[in-house]
Amino acid sequence: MIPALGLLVGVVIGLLLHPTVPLCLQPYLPIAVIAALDAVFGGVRAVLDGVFNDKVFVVSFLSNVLVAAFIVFLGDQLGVGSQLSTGVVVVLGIRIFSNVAAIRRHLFKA
Amino acid sequence: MSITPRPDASMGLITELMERPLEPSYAAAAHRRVEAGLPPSTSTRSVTIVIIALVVGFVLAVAALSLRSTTSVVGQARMQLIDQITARQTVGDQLAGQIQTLEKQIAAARASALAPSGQSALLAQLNSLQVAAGSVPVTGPGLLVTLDDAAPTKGSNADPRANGGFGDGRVTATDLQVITNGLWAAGAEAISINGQRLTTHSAIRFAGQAILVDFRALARPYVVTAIGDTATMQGAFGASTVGSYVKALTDNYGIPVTIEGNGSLTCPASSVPVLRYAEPLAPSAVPTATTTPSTPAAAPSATSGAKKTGSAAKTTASPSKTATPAGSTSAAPRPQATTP
Repeated sequence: MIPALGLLVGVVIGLLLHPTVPLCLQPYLPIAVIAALDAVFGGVRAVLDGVFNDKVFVVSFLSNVLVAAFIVFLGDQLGVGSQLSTGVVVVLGIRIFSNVAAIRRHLFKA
Repeated sequence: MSITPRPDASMGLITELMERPLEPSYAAAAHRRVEAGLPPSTSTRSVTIVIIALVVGFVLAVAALSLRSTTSVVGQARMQLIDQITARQTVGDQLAGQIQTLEKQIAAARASALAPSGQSALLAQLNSLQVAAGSVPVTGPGLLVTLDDAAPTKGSNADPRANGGFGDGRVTATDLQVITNGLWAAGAEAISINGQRLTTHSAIRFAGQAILVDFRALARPYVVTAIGDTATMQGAFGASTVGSYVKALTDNYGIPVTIEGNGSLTCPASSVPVLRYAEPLAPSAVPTATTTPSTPAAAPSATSGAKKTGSAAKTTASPSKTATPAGSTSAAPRPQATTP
């Protein structure tokens, strides 16, 4: 519950402050967001499974974001930027789906 | 943890994606904690978790805002520009109306000043000069040439940049220039296009997608009104190279061009240009038919022959058309009040 409140507070702060993202970081923003979401849903599923570990959560969050951004950056340098980012989005999307399905099974027993 | 390798271990990637259990590190860490006697899950209330949650929420909000707002900013700027354009156009039209009223007043004052003092010859010369220079409306028989864009491009209200500039079926400024030149050569004495009178200072050019006459953009269909002797003009126009040009337009590009004679046409007046640098050569103003050799190629300097004499209306009018079809601004000083 406390982390959920923290999430809400973060969203509100972001909406109020409305910072401008530097132009060089803008292409990586969507990928970073999806990677962060994947780590967050993995954490929620771990909580429901009863095996949550904050160190694992933090490490998985940071490494997801960095690796996803790095793959997109590498793709841009190699000229296959859109294909690699599509691949990253597909994989992260599948992981998000399976985590959310597990959460759903926990919550609704259905 | 040691797991015996599955028989389908080579499909590791697919199985990883599809049957994905929870992140294995969670299970491993929980296993270790249980062995150490601690509860398998750490608390979710630690400071790190709250900070991470804040950061995630913040990043989500920033991403949503920054990735969404770009289009609306552009749209807003465009709407503002459109509003400014319409506002300035109304102001320009009002000023043009004012100019016309003032010119009428000037003409009336001049007539009343000249008539009683016995300068009727001067007044008559002034009137004929005005007719030739295009500063009074004229009426008479003549030809009506109507051009329109070819049918496929006519119905497309899509972004004109989509077909990369002038498609084949569009009327270009060159077409209008050629047709106007042909009409002058055929004996027209006054020409106006879509209500814009062509004077000695007029240029037909295009800027972007619009055709401009005297810096006013025209909307299709383009109606060229030429006052002169109907039969002679029609014959000379059709027999000249312009006639075959027009035929080629219709046949090859599908641009509908209609030429019809009319017994009574009117050409409106255009405003009187103010000449700042050109001065009459002989200050005694003897009405000689001096056709100053103004070559069409040197278009910027072609308009420097002050007030052309009225009787030579046919010969002096043609050099004012700039021959360059590119949308470059002609360098002649254009003192007429036009919409900015």
